[in-house]
Amino acid sequence: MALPKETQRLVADPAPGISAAPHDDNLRYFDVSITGPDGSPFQGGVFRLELYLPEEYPMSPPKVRFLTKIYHPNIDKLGRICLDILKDKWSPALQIRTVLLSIQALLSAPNPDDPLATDVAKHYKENEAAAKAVSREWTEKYAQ
Amino acid sequence: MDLTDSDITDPTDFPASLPSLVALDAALRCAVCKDFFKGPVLLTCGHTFCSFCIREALSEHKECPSCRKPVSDQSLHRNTTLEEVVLAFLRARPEILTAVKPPELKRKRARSDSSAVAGPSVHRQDEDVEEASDDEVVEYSPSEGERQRSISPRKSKESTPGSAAPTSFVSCPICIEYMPMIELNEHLDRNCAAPRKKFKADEGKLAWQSLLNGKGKAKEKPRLKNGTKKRSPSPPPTRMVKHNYHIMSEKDIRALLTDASLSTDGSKKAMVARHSHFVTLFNANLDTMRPKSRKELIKELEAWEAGKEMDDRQKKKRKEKVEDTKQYEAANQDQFKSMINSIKSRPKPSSSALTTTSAKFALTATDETKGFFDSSPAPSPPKNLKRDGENEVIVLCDSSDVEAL
Repeated sequence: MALPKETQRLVADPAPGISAAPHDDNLRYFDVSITGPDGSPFQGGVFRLELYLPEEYPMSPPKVRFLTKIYHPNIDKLGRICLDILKDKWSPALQIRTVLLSIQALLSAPNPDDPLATDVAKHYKENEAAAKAVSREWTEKYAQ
Repeated sequence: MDLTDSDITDPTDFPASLPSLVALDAALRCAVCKDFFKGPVLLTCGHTFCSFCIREALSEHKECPSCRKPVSDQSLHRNTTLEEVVLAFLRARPEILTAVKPPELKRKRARSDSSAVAGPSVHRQDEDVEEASDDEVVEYSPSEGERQRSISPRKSKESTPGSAAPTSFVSCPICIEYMPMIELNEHLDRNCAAPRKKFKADEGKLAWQSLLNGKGKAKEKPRLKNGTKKRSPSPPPTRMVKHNYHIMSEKDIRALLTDASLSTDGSKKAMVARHSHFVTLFNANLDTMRPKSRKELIKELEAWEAGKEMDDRQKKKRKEKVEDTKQYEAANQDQFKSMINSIKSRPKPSSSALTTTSAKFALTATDETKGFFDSSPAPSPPKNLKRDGENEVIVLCDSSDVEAL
């Protein structure tokens, strides 16, 4: 199984702005933190996530969820993420690192046309500047 | 499990200062299992994967894992040349690693070499190492060099032939394991004693033998005879067919398993999983240059099933915890009460304290708390969210339950 080595590499050589560490008692369960990308309303924030590798991994996608509150049209209040590669567009050639990079990219590029948190998406569509201000505020409030 | 286990190879085994070697190593690996290609097959889009990996991936999605172009099981072609390249690289890998091993390991080796410079013949590999780490050798005090000298192989040969050789221990440049010097070469040839089974030369031979003399193997269970008899008339065994298990009765599936001389234990679901996994294993095995015997495949299947059973049991255990909410509630009543009390007795948070607690507030809802959670105010609309955190609820729970999401 490639899992231990993938984990080891992830811990030893993390992608910029991303860190992931497995739990001692369950190597399939990771504590992740992602820093908000520069230029986005999430800049300066550190967001905590949990990532779980199901036993079918890499044939089925990892389960990822935000633990830190975030005001984002594609992330709901339970932290669930609307991202195609975590659902039907999963490919076994993807890995933890690429998934986390995609999530970081999602923070840079919210997609209110495919919303999960409908009220946030509505806000983003109607008044993007105001919505971004809220995102910034939440980042300051919760993601420090 | 130890994460620093080094019996799993990785491109990063090569020093980062040699990115071309890291890239070469990475290029010979399957994108799905991240291991060296085993029985590589070429897809119509040009990408290559292990036969087993792509067959398993195709059972979920009929597309290339790398580029998402549509693929079918039938369009897979063996990539024999690539397999040869991989096998050749695997043989060369330990040698390359020895030649380019990281400085701290080089040092050890260099120290013993430095003492041997005077010797008449210098080993080719040693020469390389010496040149590369000249300056590092200087760091070491002579006394240390002296100590090293005593275990240097050539010295020992010169002074006390035979007697010292078995006791001179060295550390393997790849896996750092300690062993007698005389065993090192063999150890390296064996890919640090933890070779991928498939690539072991003698095992491959055995596999061939068992495949070719399939009939002669009287030791195998009588049931197995059916299987081997079927395949023995023509040397290259034909691929097993994937069935549409949904339209088959339990009896049909049992017959299929008996035909393949597999166990017929368990539920229909378990039998289907067993058969389909074996078909994938079997067909993937045919794409390798050194196919394993049927017996080995059955062993692999059994190991896979044992692992799955264990996972299932663990899953059930976790599920029980969530299902039996009343009992769970009763058992943990004290804890809940103390948590409620601690929140009730907490002084109203100041705005600065709020920031930290809210960050921890971290939507960690279990099934039990989810309902409660949903009824709590929705993410506040912009004007309400002005730091009125008193209404916030802090949900603490066991992190092992979180996965229930």
